[in-house]
Amino acid sequence: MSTANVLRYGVGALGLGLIGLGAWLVAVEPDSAGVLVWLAGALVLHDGILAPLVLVVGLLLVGRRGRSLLRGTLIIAGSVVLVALPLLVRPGEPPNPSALPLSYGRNLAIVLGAVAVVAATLHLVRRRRATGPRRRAPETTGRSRPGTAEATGRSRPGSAEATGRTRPAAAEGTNGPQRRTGEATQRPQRRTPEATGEDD
Amino acid sequence: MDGMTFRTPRPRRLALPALRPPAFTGRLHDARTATAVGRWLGAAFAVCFVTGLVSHYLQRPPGPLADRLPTRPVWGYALSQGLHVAAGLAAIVLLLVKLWAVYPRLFAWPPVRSVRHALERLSVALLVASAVFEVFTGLLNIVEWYPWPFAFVPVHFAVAWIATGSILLHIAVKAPEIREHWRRRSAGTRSLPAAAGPLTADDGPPAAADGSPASSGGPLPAEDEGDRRSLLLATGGAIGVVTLTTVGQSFTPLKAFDLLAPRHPDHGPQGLPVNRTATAAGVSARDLRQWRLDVGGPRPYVLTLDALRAMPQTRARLPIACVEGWSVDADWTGVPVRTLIERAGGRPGATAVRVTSLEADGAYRVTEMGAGYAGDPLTLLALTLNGQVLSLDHGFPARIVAPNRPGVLQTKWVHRLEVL
Repeated sequence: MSTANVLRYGVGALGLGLIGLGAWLVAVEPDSAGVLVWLAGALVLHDGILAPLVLVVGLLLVGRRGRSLLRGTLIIAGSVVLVALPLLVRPGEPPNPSALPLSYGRNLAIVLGAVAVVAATLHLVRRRRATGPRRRAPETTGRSRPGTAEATGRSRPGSAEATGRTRPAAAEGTNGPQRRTGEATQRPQRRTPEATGEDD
Repeated sequence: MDGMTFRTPRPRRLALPALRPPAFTGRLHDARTATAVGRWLGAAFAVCFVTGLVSHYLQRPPGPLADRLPTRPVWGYALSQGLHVAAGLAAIVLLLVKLWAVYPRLFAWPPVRSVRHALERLSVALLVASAVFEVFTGLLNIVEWYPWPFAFVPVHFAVAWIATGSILLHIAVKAPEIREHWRRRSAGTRSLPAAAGPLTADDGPPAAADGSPASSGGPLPAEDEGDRRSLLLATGGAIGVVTLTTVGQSFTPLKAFDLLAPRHPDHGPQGLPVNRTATAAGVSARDLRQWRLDVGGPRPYVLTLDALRAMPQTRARLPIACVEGWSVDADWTGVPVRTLIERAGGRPGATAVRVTSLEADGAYRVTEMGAGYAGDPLTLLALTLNGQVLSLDHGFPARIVAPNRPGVLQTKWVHRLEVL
């Protein structure tokens, strides 16, 4: 067995050991059944509710212009909302005057507003750039590959992310997050839901 | 319509989609996204696990360790626990993006191919359940919300071992795939649809339409995988915004951006947040009227508050660092605990101290302070905070404040010290 394999099996065995230790620690808890219920609940909460919700939102974005920017904005806003949610929906009075002391609804609105303003600014900057003199004809190759598309749902030419890339790279370097790509240039929309799938 | 021709194809068409899992054609649900996000997620969980252990063993040191806990750096616990919560919040974002990337595998068809496959799926289920459980219970704990039937601390600790173990197991199982997709230009990455898709169209023949490693594609230009890049940048942006708007509760220089943290350095009596008020602890000003400090040991003695104030005072700037992640530095003055135990016949640096609070109940009413803390010249029985006499909520008339120590052990309303 090679060194890498020894390491691999070692890590796996260590993992199994730690799982065993954790399981034992759970088992000796007075309410270990409650823990199991909440563990299963965590699985259901994510796989059954949160993920499908995100995928549905993603489906709504398929084929839109500026999808990447919109997606990035939603990822950021969604994360902030998720982290702020317990502050907003926690029942009962705060445990003491210095705990949960801020006006969280207002603060969340401020943060989301700032995210929206940054996203809108980026969108405008990009649109201006896309309509500027440096516009190039995107993608001339087409590259339809018969026989692979229906099997894998891959490589449809003309998706938003493809056309967005025809702009010169240097112009994008300093803009910060989530503005990399995805501004559709003027191009007939050829996307179908199965082309870009449920990406959010 | 002819019933026969209508019916024959129909059952087949209806039955299959009903049984078949949903189709996922989004091109970023692949091993490269999983690897790129997964390694950051692994790092975040590693930070959480290590800092969690630090916190656990500082709070409940096993016997032989109790006297050897380090008291430096004084801000050690503030940093460690601040990182624990910050990494945990970042892990929420990373975990959701990671699970989004691999979500289609939940619907793998057939659901079970072999015993090995079944075990692998089981381990992934364990990983998802324990990881979501950990970030969820942690997130609720920092707002002090406990809707579950079990005790938070031991269960969060126990499930952390399961989560860490299943992450290690997952890394071991997936090692070849991780290696194949570690870099943007790794062979596996280049054979993915998202890497070999339209983005490379200008660069010659597509890499590996048949799934084999790209031999003809050559190194991809830096701009490749633009869509994935934008997803990863958005993930980073989300972590950045979440961190910026919460980390001010433990890193005071950023308090101006502390908009969504459960604590704020400016909110609390005498410029310091409180975790347990005097009312909550059942301590009233009336109970303190006859207050005396009772020091036990080979040469026991009793001190009035005036006598304590008349002793030489030491000044120290130390943080109160709470297990919920917030921490704030403060100026304290008081009498070093080592002076008090010396006078009672204890040997500073070699003897531990039992500290008793006036509070009516609570898991930390009576605590033991190891010899390392008790002997440290910065460990004080503090009488003032930020230049003022301690307020009732901060432990008037006297409280413990020690360097590099969890807030729950900085006992308030102290009325008895015993040299052990």
